[in-house]
Amino acid sequence: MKKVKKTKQTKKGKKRISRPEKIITEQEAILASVGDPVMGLVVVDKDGKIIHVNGGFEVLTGWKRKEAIGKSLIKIVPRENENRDRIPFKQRILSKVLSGKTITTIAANNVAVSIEKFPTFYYVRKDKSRFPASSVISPVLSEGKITGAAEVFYDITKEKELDRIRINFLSLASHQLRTPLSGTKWLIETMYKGLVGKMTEKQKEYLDDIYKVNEQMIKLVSDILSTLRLESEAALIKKGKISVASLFKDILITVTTAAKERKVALQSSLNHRTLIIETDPEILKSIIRSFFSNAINYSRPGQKVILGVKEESRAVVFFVRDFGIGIPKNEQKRMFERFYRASNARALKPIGTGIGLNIAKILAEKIGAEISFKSEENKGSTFYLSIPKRSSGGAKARNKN
Amino acid sequence: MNNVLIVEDEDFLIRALNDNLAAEGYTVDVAKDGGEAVEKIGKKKPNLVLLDLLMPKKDGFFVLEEIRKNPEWKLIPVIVLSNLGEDTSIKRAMEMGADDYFVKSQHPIQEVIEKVKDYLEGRKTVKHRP
Repeated sequence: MKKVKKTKQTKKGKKRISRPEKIITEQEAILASVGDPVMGLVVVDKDGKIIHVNGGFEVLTGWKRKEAIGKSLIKIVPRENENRDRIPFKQRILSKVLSGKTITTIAANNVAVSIEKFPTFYYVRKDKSRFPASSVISPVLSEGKITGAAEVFYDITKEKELDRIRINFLSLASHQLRTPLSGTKWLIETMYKGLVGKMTEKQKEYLDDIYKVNEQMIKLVSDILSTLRLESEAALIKKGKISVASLFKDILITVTTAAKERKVALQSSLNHRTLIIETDPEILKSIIRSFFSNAINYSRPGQKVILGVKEESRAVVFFVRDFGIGIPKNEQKRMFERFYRASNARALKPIGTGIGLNIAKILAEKIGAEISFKSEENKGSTFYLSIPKRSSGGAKARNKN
Repeated sequence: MNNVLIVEDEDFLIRALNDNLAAEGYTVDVAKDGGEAVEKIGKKKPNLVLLDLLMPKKDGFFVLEEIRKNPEWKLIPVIVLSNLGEDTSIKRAMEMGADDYFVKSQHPIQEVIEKVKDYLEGRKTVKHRP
């Protein structure tokens, strides 16, 4: 909180003394009632000691203003993850904001302001009960130095419940969609076998069309289900390690058939093969695989797709480069929207859900990585996945040697 | 002759399964919910059960439990055919003693039929039962 100067010049140059005192109490009164009682507000000094709380803080945490002032915020309001593990002091965003560290893993606006909601965390109340929270922490700066931090937080129990209901509903709806689709699939397959009589060529052609459309619908429903599953947090991150060499090998095996079908050549760079990536290997593979699937689909026969990796000071960057149709400039900012497909992509390949990059982005956020791309129409695209070497997302890389 | 019990509430899926199984020379019985399934198994023990999970009244998990806790029935191979695709459902069914699990829309019917043949022609044996 900004200190109010004890003296203040009026326009006429006369000193007034009583007014600033009043301003302090007025400001405190305003701050104390901001957002009451749904929004908690707490201000700490550079050591993380509480210097101000509002009424919402008292309601949400159970700590009275008088008890809280002067105590360490991190100590009296512990943070827990989904599994009820305490989040260590050093990993608390508050510690990072106070130490002036740039936050890379959480959606950051400007420098060190961090908005956190995901993955879900909980604040523990005075009575040891807990509530899911979302919070925004920003440093208090005075002449460029960090003198403290202000945190605003909400209880998001209701949002979480609504989210759960929405996901349950959609998952049931998708399940109900799958049943008729699988019925159609199996009945057509039974007809193909000739179990219900011989078909004419024309009838078989018609049936082929119906079968194809049905398979597209099955794919769509299955993609929708997987995004929902990702969002529901049911898919937890499994920490692991994988070398660049085996990562490349695993990925190339799964995309070779698709590349052959489209007559696209695959190439992978040979540097950094011994580099070990510490992250969820399945998520990592899945992201790079979706880059590949786009690169192959939007290349022309005879072209090649390159898989590579480079090491930067703060991150390991994987990239997949193609020389295909590219993404029109005015559509580039929409590439990560769910169901969005660029106009030239739709023209080249009418079938597609527009969900791949959206899933890749959600996955990247889960492991604390970032996705970006460069693209020029008719020249090709390069998609990058940047994994920070050290981050609270658990992804880090080290050299085997 | 080998007998397969189809436990499924959707007529079009019953028809597809029935026609394919009959073409392989198996006799087929049908139960449209969990209660009916247990009743039918009691009257005539099938050589294999194809089991849907989501059904009106008693569901597939109920049938699975009944089959596995009955010493006379526990060696019957059970293949779950469901459109519940989440890991939790699959894990639950497998832990309750399902021998295989197919998400219906993700597999051609022939794959299911081949699996049935594997069990009934002795190429595949049921999981170890405690």
